[in-house]
Amino acid sequence: MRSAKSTTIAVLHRKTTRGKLMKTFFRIWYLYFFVTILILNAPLYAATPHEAAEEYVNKVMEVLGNKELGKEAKQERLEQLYPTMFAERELSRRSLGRGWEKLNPSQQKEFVNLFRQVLEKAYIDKILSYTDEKIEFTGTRNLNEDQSEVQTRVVTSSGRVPIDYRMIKIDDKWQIYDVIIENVSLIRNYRSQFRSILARDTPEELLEILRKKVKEK
Amino acid sequence: MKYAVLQAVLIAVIISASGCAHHNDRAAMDPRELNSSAESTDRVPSSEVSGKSSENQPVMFASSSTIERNLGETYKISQAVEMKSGFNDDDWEEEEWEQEEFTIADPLEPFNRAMFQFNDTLYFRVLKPVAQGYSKVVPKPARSGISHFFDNLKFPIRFVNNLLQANFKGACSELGRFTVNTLWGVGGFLDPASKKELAIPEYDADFGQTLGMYGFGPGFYIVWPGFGPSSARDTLEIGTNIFLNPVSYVDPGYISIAARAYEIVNDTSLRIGDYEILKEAAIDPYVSLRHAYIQYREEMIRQRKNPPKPGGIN
Repeated sequence: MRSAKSTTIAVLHRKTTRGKLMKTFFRIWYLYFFVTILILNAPLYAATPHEAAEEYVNKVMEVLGNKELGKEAKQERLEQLYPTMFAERELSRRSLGRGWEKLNPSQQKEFVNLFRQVLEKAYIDKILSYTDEKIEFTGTRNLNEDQSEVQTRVVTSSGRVPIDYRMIKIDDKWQIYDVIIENVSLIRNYRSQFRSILARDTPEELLEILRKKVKEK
Repeated sequence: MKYAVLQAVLIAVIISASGCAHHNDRAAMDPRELNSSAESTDRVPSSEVSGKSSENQPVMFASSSTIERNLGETYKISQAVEMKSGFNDDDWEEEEWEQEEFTIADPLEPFNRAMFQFNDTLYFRVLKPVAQGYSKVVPKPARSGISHFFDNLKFPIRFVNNLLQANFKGACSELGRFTVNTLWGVGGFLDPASKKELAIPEYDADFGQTLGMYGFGPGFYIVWPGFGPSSARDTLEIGTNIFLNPVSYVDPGYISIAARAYEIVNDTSLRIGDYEILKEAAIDPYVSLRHAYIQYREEMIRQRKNPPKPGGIN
């Protein structure tokens, strides 16, 4: 019984000249190769929230643990990682709450941008000063078919801090849209601030406050 | 007079210690593993408790489940009232599984903002420089040890409040921690009770939380100079903590004040940077702190009332 491979070759040999045979040969192997890659990659996209969260944490740890990178280089790498880990639009929209509808589309876009910079500025130093705290994954809670909560605990010198990540599945990829540190949710905390700001200021003024904050050091 | 009170507390400790020895066998479980729906507040199945009570247990254990049930009812009603009279009427639609957000009224906002500013200046001008200087002189493990020491001493506060909340498991757990840490932890400097082999769970409890468990809403937000964010209810806690903290009973008075101040400096030295992050991250730090404070407090009380399902937030 001939194998599939030899049958294929035999068929091709009958149907083509030598030159064309080689070309088709290549094309078929290329196809095999491509399909295998696809199959191998599929799990990454259908990952569970827990796996996705772990993957993100590991990537960040990789950058932080890389002794060859200087501080600025690490910061750059982390900034590149950020949009892959966080569902930016969801995060920003939920942080504004009702206020989101008060912004027109271009303001919304600018807000997403500014908000990211505010968060990066605020937390980058703390993240870069990470030394050897242990991160334990303590569980997962499924909220919805598209939303899930991954619970972790960071063991620091002054105790254990529970940090939970709320994740949402967009285009088959799980991304973070909220970080809950010791029961205080990031988006809810910002929502309370933005609510009080938008109660007295217009959306444009809010953006101006954010622009100023990003510029200051 | 003060010593009489301290003695009374010690006697209470000893009495419950005798009951604890039995009670502890049963519940070495983490609160996470307790299965309970949002409605039920029965943390101890009544059959178990009544079974135990036939073995000459102190009477108070037998009624723990009834107390918890009553506490639960009162709390739910008061919380419903609290929600309706909440300060923020933002009806941003949360997803169905989201628990309702806690709100707090802030009628004293101008005063609070002024106090917030005062505390801010106090921190940056006084506390932080002192803590930084201190941290340069004293190495971190020593500072952690001192922090554990003072923490261990606050045991009566946690113990009494756990009892008041009818959380006997918590009271026993805290008693266990205190014993282990004092005897094997060099008077409290080390923290062997938290190591993996023993892992005696912490049950932090304070009077504000106890009042909350009895159904008192937080009232309104108030920022005290020096003490920081608080609420009308939690303000009572400041007084009772002084009352129950053994350090306050040190004679002469100025030494106990100095000890308290030292504890604050030491703790701050371990946490330099946390407040700065809050300020850096926030667009309006005052609102951010108010929100964080009330979420943290009320969530703690809610979780004490309804232990989460397995895999829930601890």
